[in-house]
Amino acid sequence: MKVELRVNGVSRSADIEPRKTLLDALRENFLLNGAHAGCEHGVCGACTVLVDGEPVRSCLMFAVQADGYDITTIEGLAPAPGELSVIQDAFCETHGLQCGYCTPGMILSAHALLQRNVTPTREDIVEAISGNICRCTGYGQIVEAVQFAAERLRLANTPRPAGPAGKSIAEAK
Amino acid sequence: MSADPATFRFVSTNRRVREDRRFVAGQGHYVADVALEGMLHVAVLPSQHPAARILSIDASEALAMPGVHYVLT
Repeated sequence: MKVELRVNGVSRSADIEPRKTLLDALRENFLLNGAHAGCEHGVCGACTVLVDGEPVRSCLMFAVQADGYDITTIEGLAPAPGELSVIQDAFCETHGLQCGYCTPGMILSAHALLQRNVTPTREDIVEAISGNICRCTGYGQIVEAVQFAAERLRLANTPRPAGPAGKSIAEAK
Repeated sequence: MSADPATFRFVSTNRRVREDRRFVAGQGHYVADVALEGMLHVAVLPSQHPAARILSIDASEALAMPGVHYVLT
């Protein structure tokens, strides 16, 4: 089935078998190996990608269902080749990873949180990453990374989309 | 065991990730990311018995199946 998928801002057309999951399509058709297959039944969150800014289990979605949506993978977060986004750098700063397998999913879930919530509490962060399992770190440094990133984004007055759920930057001050 | 913390080079020092930056960018090269020409896949056959002695292995039926290239025992 011919589909047009908009991945990381680039429209890519492909002929994808209807039963192929979005995870498999991203990895095999588009060679974007950042999304990882952890459990392949929607429990672990290693396959997390953003569809229209919302974290989604790409292992539970058919690639053809993503036609017409904006898909963001971990490869799409870097502001420029060789650079890291604020959240990615925060994970480096607080050592929020060991093996790195859960990390792309964690970062994307954190990114979605910080787009809608400018001043997340620790409970907000724990809730946001509750769908991402980490077997290595014990989560402490991951939560620290998100807190650190939230602080840096606030101080940099980074524009965030104004949404119904979160506070705008003006309200957060 | 009573070393002075001020002399530690790594313990309790800056924990910033340096050479592993690629993982936050999704550039980790895991086993599932390996794709070589002519690559085959492994199917593991576990034992049917919890504790037993292997007397012999007859892989002829498996090797006769289409797509089976090798049986490693």
